[in-house]
Amino acid sequence: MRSERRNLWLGIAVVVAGQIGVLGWMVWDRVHLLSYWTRNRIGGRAR
Amino acid sequence: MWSYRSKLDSDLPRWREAGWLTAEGEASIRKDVASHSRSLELAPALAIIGAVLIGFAAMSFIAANWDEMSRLARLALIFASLGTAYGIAGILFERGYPAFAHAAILAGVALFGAGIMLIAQMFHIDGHPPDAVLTWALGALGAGVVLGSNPALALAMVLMGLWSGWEMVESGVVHWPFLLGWGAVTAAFLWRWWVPGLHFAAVVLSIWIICLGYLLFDGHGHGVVVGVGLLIGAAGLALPLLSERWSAFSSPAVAYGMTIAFAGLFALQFVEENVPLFGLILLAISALTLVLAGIGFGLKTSSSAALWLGYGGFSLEVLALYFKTVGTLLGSSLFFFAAGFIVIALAAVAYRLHARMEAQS
Repeated sequence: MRSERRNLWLGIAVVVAGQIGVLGWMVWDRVHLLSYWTRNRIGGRAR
Repeated sequence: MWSYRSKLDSDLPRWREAGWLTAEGEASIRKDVASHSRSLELAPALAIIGAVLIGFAAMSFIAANWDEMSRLARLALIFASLGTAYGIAGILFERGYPAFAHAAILAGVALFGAGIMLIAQMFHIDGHPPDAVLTWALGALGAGVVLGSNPALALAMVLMGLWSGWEMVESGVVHWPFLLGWGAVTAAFLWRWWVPGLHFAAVVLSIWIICLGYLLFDGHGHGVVVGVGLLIGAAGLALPLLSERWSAFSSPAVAYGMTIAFAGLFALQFVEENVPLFGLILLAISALTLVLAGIGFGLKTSSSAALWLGYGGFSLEVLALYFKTVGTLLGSSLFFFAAGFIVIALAAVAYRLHARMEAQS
């Protein structure tokens, strides 16, 4: 029973982390890599 | 299950009156049927509909207040609502409300899709739109597998179909990667042994195969569709011979195969242009033989799906032929005479075969 409960919350944590990770990666890729990385280091390559 | 119960309702009193069944026996049968009932219950269905409505409400609320929020607040709202939906699912599982928990998971998956769209809009990500649908589908598949949620897997299958359909509409060519996505979701259905999901997977694949006819060989690939459908039907007929374990798949495979082959034959007759009259007659005879064979199979194996698909196909074929032949050389009265003659001839062949089999046994 206890292990079932642990598995349930572990599963939910994995799913939430995965989905928020994907959304976060979209933001990171756009904001950080585009605004910071590409503009500051590569030199303003438009995407 | 409902039809089985209504049949029992009419049969049980008759059997009791005939003295074959005691009152206790009747009560036990009714109790057993009630305990094994897997009919669609109202509460889970309403919970699922409620989850979908909450998803739409959330999207409308965000859309209405979107411009007034800062980017950080928007992101926080998306992430918090996603986490809350899955958190509610966990609490509902713990408290013993699995149907409501699955509805909450579905709401979580819907919010994940809304999140993809909103972030794409917020940061002006104008990539390839079907990729966003694929990402959503993979999220639904992941949630369905990890949390054991059939509704999330069903949504994953819908999204795989949407992804492939969008790709095919945009490119005008066959989208083969669909088979990978379809296979992954179907494997999850098989792993969970969810029969309605397997039927849903078969329906989606059937639609995809029928679409092949409109994309292969510059839109003239309906012959391939007929071939694939006949192969699936033949495989369905062969399954019980190969293994007893797979015999449950026999009747659905025949019904899906027949439907696919019929759709191909229908397109060859009525979608293709400039079909010669002789060709049309041959194709019509093939289509009518196929649907009559389907009706025969349905009657022999008590498969109501094959039977009704056969009746539906027969009606559709006759109606389409009527419209196609009105005012042509063949003439509608001559067509109906020929069709009636063919059907009676097939019935006579079936009767003689049956009589011969009876005599042999």
